[in-house]
Amino acid sequence: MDGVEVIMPRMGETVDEGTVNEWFKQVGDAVTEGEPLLEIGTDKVDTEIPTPASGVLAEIRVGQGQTVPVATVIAVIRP
Amino acid sequence: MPDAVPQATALELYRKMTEIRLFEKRAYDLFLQNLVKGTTHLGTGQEAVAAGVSQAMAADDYMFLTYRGHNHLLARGTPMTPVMAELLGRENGLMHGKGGSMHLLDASRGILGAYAIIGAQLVIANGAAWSARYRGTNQVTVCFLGDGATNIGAFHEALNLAAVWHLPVVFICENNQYMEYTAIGSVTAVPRPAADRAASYGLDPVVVDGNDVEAVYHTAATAIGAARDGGGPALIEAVTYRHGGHSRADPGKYRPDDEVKAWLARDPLPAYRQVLIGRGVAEAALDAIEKAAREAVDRATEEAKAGPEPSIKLAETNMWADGGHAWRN
Repeated sequence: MDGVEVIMPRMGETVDEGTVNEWFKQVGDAVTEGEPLLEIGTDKVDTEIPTPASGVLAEIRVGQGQTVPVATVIAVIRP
Repeated sequence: MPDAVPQATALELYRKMTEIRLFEKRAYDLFLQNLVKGTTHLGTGQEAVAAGVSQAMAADDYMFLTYRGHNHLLARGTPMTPVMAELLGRENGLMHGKGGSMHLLDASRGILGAYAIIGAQLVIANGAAWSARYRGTNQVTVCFLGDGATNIGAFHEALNLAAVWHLPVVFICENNQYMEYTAIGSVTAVPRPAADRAASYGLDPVVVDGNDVEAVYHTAATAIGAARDGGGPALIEAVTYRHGGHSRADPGKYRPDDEVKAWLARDPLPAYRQVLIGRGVAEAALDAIEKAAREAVDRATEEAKAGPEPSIKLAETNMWADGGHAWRN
């Protein structure tokens, strides 16, 4: 089981990248589906991204302050 | 206080609300996976309005929607798969992927469009109502609008003409407290944006708890019945709350925490579940409805994802480009 990948969402049709403003959880933390996982920022809006699945936050691949293209895998959650 | 609806109707209302809630949740998840094309406006928290009003409509009545219209199509019986596929911009979507979330339409069920121009649908709804009368049918037109639309010129034009022509049309204002990012009360001259204006058109001020599905059903049934019997138009203000932001990328942070918390405590779904349990409905029956709805949403998601991206050939369809003028007549 590879787990559930969290990707950088596209927050607008003309938005091609997003910044990780803040992680609310750390690697190893238990996470519950629906609770806020991180805040991202784009040139349009800052918004919280909910946890897509319950489990353990196994990997954070994009750290606070980093900007990446949309669809980049930014974290992995494992059961 | 009207009687409780028959149990079969109550379970139908619960099923519709549950399906809508889970569908909208999935739509948001798919957006976060970058699978939804264009924007979406979710109606989470407002399910009781769509479900209650739809239940009060006849099969051949007309319905007009806003861009926050997924709820109403599903409540009216449009299958989930073509709606979901349309959000994903796929060829098996309701409009072959050409419309997207904001422009849903299902003429086979009398749903004559979701309108992204605020207030535009009101004047067009008058046209549908006038056509029903001209053709001598007894169809009623139901037109949804948001609270913000009451501050648009077309609201006044449409309500006035509907009253002057005594049209069989029922306008339902879903007052979810916010016009986009602005609290409706901060930019409106009266406390009840729709009801307090009804007298301008000789109509009764009708306000209903939009989070009470049976209250919505009874109120809509009365207005629709009266319109069908030649009683003319009605304007209903259903007071409700949008659980999320205005559109997919809006975190809705401009709303006071206390206000959000108070409205979440009045969530129409768990509230109705408690009402039904209080009437002796088995919890297992309600759980079974939720399970079936969850499976239906999963199925619709898979079928929508399996749909092809629209072929280039579709760009040449629905264009009225044959040079003729028959469509005008």
